[in-house]
Amino acid sequence: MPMTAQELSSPYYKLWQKAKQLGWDPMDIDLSADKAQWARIKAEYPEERYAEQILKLTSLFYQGEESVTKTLAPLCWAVSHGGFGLDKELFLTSQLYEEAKHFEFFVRYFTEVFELDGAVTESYLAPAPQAVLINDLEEVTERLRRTEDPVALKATFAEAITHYMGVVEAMLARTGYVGAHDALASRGWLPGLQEGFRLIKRDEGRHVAFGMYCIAELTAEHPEYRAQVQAIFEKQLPNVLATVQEFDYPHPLVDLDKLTGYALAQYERFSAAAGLSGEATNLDALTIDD
Amino acid sequence: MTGHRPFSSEWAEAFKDAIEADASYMTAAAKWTWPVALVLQAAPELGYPDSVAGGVELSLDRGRCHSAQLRARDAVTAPFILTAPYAVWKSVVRGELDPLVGVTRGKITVQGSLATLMMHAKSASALCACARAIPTAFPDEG
Repeated sequence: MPMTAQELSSPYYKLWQKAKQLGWDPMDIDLSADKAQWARIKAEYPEERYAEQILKLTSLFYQGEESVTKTLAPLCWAVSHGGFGLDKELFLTSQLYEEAKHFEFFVRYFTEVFELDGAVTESYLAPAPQAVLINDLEEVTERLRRTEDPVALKATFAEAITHYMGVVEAMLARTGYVGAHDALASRGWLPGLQEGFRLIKRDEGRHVAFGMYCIAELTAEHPEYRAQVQAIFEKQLPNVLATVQEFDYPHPLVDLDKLTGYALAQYERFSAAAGLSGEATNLDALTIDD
Repeated sequence: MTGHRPFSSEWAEAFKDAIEADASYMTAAAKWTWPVALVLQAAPELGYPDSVAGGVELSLDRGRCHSAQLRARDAVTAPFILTAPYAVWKSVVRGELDPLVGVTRGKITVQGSLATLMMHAKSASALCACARAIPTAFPDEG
């Protein structure tokens, strides 16, 4: 099936082009300085527990990136099966590749810098992040994978987009990467990890933009989907806030209030795109960190 | 000690007047259309036992406050109920704690749609900022 002129000029197609231009390889990031610094951070800040906080933060990223890598395929299938557009299909192939790279980056970091098996990351998963990052995301994407009816497929696709791009990527991943990058950059710590965060955050910006365009399109066509979008945020907001609070230490590595504010700003943007807030959203002006 | 005792009828009425006089609130809450109740947890040591009404129910609509009524805790009917202990409300009234930060930190509990409340975060913050204008006599500073 040929691509239509509309698809070739769509925001999804532009995001796909951008993804091709901004490729990077996790194996190219220099981690040599991180190895030496990690040993110092562990030794010099026992009272502040900075090493523990960094491990917990990167564990959530490790688990989160593994989860989104595993759960994106049903969205690709739904777009193809439902005939939602070749432009969307193209973009999602780039996203699948990028999610796998993000996971690879953390696998490499745990192996080479922390010198830990990735299994240790499970010990840092409290119930709230476990629910929002893994269990509930698996539930909605698995439900999407099993949906054959075209009408139900589109509605479930809207749910999956909201949870995947609106909650996990916008509110948690991008927020976490911004907060973690700022925390490390202000201390001059772990330059390889900082670089990984920067590149992953840039990719996530495109993924979130894709989700916002999709949800705007879906809810404009089916205003009744807005109730589903609202219900997902209603369920997941406490999990998101509890996940941020996981980093409420006596000597916090990250600025919690800034982090919460950023997460809520992401929520406002996504809700506005879904037509929930009554605010007009200029999606053409989306900032995607490119 | 001058001013109204927090969570008294006089304080509630002064809160209403402060909201009505606040142009910033009117702008920030242009899309807020639901009543809100602020509930003080019982604090017998400060004169707020269970038997004393501890809820201020504000009838809010698009930047206006039509009434502020003191009610028993279990008699509030607002779709949004924010509950906290005395020390937390004191910090909010003094402007030391943003109510949304209080909610996200678990210091203030919310009954009602958290998603809606967070979508109108500026409105909630502006509402509590109005409380700073109330002459308040805190009972623990007697």
